[in-house]
Amino acid sequence: MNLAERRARRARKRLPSLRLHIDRSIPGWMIRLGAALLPTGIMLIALWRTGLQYGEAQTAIDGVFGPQMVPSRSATAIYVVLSLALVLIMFTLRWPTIWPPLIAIITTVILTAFTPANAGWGTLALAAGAYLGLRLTVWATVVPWHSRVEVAALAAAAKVDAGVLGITLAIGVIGLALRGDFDLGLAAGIIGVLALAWWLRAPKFDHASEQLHRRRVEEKRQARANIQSFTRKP
Amino acid sequence: MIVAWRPSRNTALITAAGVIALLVGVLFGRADLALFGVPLVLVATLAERSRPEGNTEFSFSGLENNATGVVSETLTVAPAPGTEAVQVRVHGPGHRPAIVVVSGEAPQEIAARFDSLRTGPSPSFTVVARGYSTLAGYVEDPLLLTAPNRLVLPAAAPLLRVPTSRRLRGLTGPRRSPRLGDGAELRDIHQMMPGDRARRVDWRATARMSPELDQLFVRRTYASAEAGAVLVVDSRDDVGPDLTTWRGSEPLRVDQATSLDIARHAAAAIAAALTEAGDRVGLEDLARRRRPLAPAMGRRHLRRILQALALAAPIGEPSANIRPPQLASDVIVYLFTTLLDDAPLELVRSWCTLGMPVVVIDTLPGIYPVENLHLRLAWRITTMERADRLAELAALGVPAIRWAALDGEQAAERLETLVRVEQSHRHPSGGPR
Repeated sequence: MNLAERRARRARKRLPSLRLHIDRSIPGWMIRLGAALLPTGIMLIALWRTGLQYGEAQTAIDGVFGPQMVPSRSATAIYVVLSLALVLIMFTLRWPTIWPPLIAIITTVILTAFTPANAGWGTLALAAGAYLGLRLTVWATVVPWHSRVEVAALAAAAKVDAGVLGITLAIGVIGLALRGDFDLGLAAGIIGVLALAWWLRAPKFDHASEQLHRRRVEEKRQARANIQSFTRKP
Repeated sequence: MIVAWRPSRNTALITAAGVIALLVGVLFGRADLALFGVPLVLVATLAERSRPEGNTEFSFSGLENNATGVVSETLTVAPAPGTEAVQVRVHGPGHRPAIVVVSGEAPQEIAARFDSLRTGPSPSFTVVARGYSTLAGYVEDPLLLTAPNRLVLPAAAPLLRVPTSRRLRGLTGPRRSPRLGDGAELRDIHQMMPGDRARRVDWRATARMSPELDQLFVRRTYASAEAGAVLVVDSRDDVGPDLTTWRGSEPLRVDQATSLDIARHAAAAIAAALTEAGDRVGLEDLARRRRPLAPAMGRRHLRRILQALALAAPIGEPSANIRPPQLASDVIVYLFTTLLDDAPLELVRSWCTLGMPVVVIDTLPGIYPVENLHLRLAWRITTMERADRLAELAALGVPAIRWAALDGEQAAERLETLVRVEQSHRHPSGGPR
């Protein structure tokens, strides 16, 4: 069987695909690729910002304990983070769940803790990138590899993301502006976030719960009225 | 049907991660660390409060399109309020499923289409849809919808002329009968005989031939008549071009026409050509034991024939013994068969013995090359047996036309050739030379 016949045979074995016509869309693999690369990229940038050096630390350790006897903490940390990045990428590409970006965010926070405190603007960018990576991963759980997602669906969600990022960046800018007065800035930021969250979760803004609550109140009132009408003496 | 929106763990996990980031910021005394937790807490809170209400609704509004080649439907998706996105997975018979994720803000339509070379009863689309709220915090239970099945009618390709029966019947019709009658074609000018009508008198000829008017001359015309044809479809087997599917364990692909599809298309084309010419056409199905379609004329009858062709299908194992259908002696028989056994040959012999003209349409599709040695040997033996049957048909004087994909376009020319050969063998009066 020559090459042309083999190609024809392979083409015959492959099932034809359906055609679905929707508005402007992008392929699902782009979402999944972004979800795999962005959180781990943020994590690796945070690692780089820590300034951990493999070579110098390893030379210092070798000088004390002998060559290749004890791996340095920085080398270990670098190995751990790189391996973690690889695992998170492979996992997200194959079975996207919410865990990889959350692990990447926590790892980024821990690595940023070992970063000099005056690198504040970079942290703003990392926080925004970490959030976007999380959102992309959530989309990756909904959009399979060989599918397509409407641009309109992403745009509708982007409005929410823009609001959240706007508030985050505003809090960050305010915090950096008050950097001299640390306690006040931190306290104001945290209190502001918690107040905002409480305001959003207030029952009066939950229409579904409000209607359910009203219906239950009405049912209780009706049941009470029925019982009274049955027990009323003629 | 009430479908539930089930909360996922996303919101709780993201909230936990946000709180951890805030705590790390407090522990290390750094506001920039706490900043990582801010968007997480905010978006988790937004997702928690945006629980969708109601269910996603979707329905099919199919186009009235039963033409061969394309099956299309329009899916209307109406997401529940509060939905961020709807994942729609569409399955079609013999096709890879397609998945799209559409916006949950407003209802929209999705056009679904797949190509199919198959005819007859055809399953349509099956859709599984699922709604997601913000951050996939709430996920809807999957909703299933199946579009109604379709009956795909065969396409009647245009043909030139097709062979018709030599023996005409009746006194009306589109064809010229050798008998005298009330047709439009002039036969001769003859002396008026008892029974001739006065309005048939040709006064010019009378004035020319009998100036004294002692003998009147009339115009005599040929009678018009009609021809009949019966399409006999051998629907006992339905085989595709892939030999590995012949044993029945593997499904037939929708992008490969089978022998029954070819037979339906060929029969539809010939029926349309005969109906256009004004002849009567009947239909017999060898596999089904039900009343055949008696020969009739007209577009409505053609539609009936197309419907019956689409419903022709094999039942169980092909039977080796076929009871010959009862046919009138003045019809031409078109037999659509794969010639994979001797039963069609027996039928042809019996018809030829009765003097009925027969045309055999070979409906076996082009077979793909096989690698398996056993299959190759089996196919070689089958090919040789078919060649013997075709040789016997040629010896009986029965033309056999192959209607596979490659030869379908040339089939019209072959049929026209048969008509011209038949005409050249006829006496001008209509009888044989």
